[in-house]
Amino acid sequence: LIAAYCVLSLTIKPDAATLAHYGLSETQARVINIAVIVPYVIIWYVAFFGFIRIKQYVYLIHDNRDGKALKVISDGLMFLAISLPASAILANLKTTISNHDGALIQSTTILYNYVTLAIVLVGAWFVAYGARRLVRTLNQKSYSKTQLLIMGVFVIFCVLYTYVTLTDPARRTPGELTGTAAYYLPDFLVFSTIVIPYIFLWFLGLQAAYYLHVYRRNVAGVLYRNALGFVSSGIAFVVVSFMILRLLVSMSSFLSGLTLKYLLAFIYVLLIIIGTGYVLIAIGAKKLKKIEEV
Amino acid sequence: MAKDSDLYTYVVSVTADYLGPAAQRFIDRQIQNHLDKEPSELTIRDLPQLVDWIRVSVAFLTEDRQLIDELTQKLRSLPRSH
Repeated sequence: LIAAYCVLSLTIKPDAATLAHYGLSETQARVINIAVIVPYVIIWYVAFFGFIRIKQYVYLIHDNRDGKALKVISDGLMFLAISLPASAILANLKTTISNHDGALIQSTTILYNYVTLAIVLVGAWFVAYGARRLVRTLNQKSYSKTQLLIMGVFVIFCVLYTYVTLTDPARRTPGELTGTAAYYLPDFLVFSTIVIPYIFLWFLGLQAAYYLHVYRRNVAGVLYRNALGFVSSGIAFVVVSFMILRLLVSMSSFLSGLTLKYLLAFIYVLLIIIGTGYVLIAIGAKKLKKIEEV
Repeated sequence: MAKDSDLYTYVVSVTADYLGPAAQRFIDRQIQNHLDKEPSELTIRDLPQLVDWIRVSVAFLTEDRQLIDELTQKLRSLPRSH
């Protein structure tokens, strides 16, 4: 996957309009491309390392109630980890195909949007379902003031995301700087098949993070709770980073107006958040696995 | 004196304060691997040796000496509390 992504990224000719906008030569654009590819590839590695660690832990306890719930969560994390290289490779394939045949840009963009949404949606569903099963092992009431606060923030975020998506000038027709449209779909289809599924996806993700928080707070065992805290915080980081990533995609017109310095800063901050999430998951899984090995 | 099955349950419940849902699996491993017997065969005479192994194993999980001493103390005081 890494080799496919690097080959695709480095062989795609940089867009002439983008080079002119940022005042870059082709070589400079490729150097910047490498500066983004390297940390991105490191984060894929960390993500796969994180979910493999948790799979190894789950394998040790798969016959127990908590093991069965954590197995479902680990399946979800696998889909989320796969979504990172999958979306990047598909994005590069989309660009390569449309560079060869401009008429295919609409269909490849639509396909890309739905495939990436489907992978992440399946992952979030597994994580949320597993987290709900985990809380049920405690017979714990799962509603609290914290949940209401999270829901409040979530509603505000959804309104913001819907507004940003449906007012993006480059949502249906290509923007001046981006050269492509984000969806190539009428607004009612963007709303019903992109915005609503993503809102549902974030709902699942936040629900999962909340259930894990409830489980961690109420489960017995100082050492177990400490290890699980890393996993639950990591999942919360991953969910939030996917939310930010989607919001940024919807703000492509705004982002293309930024200077290169700020654009790179945006990308690096996002990469750090995604990486932090998976590092926390890997640390927590390692600690949990150790409990089952001694 | 408690029944031996009560002893096993007590050891698991005390350890659960530290290892949560992993406690029973942890205790089962200590009994099977270090005492070479099944958890259902645990007797009060096995307790000192079991507590020593639990202490060694928990020391691999944390550097908190106070926590390890506390767990060991609780486990060692089990027979008297019955």
